[in-house]
Amino acid sequence: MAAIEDHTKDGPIRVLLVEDHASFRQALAFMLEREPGFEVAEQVGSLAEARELDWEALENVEVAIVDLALPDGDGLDLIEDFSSQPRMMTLVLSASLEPGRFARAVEAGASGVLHKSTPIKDIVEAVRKLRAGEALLSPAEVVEMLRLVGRERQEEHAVQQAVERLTPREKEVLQALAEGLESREIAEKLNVSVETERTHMVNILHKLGVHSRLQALVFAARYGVVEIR
Amino acid sequence: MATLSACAGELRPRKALVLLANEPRAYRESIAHVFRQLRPNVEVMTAEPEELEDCVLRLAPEMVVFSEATGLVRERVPVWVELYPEYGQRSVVGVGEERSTVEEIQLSDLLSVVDRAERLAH
Repeated sequence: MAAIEDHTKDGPIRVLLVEDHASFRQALAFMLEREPGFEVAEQVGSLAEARELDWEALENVEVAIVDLALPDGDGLDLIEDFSSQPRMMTLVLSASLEPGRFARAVEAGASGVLHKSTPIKDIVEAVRKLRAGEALLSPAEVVEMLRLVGRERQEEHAVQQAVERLTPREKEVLQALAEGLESREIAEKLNVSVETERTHMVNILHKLGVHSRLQALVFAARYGVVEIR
Repeated sequence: MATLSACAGELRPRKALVLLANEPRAYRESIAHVFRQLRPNVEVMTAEPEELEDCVLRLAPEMVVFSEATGLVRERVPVWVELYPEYGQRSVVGVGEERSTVEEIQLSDLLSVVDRAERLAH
């Protein structure tokens, strides 16, 4: 068993590239192919192309460099697929500036996450380190990322609960607010008194945990409760 | 490797000059690497996007690759590529007065633009 592992580590590092910006993907492949000890096994530009790959032929791929923003979906979905490959490690290379996106990638099984502003030599070095069994993230960084994912999930759950508490009528009030209507105009539009409209609004503020009509509107727009036309 | 530090005050190279000042850095450096390897007849430099105008004024490159450019850059540089503005799939190539939009631009397309810039320079 040890002999097999040693043999693998003596061979080239086989890399899979999943990146939708073709000119960058091809340039990165060109560079890696010319780096001592690297071999680009395959390169694809979408989730669909990645899922059509012949996995038996790719069983020796050790590192998949994966972009998160793919034209037909989220690269996060691929990370779990790749995690099922016994030898494959995933290095996320993304232009995202959201720490939560990187944290979710780590939660899904990514061995490392790099922003695309990283110098190219550091990206190559990161692949070498992964292959050598070195960690790109410290345990403390991983823990912090998992905490972040947990906090985001709690927030999402709280938002979902708040939205579910809204009645259809309250959503109509919010939609009217999103159309730029004042309190009296909303009341007229919904055929209710101004007092009733205000009662709806008080209930909305309470349910959403906000303190003003403006905050309610921002909340509703951010979480898709209303459509801004 | 020619970088922005070389942009300040050096003599204009005799070869056609291609300046890459696009974001993100990984794109800029990897594409510059390919240009240097496959087009040794051109000079290739990289710069940070915020230094683009200054480099254009100092060096008068034959070709520039950028993500977002000012009118000055488009007016002064004969050949340019607006590569993946706002991280979309679309790119725009400008050669003289000619403009063309390219969906999913390939590395070979960029090399062809370099060749055009090199021909125009001579």
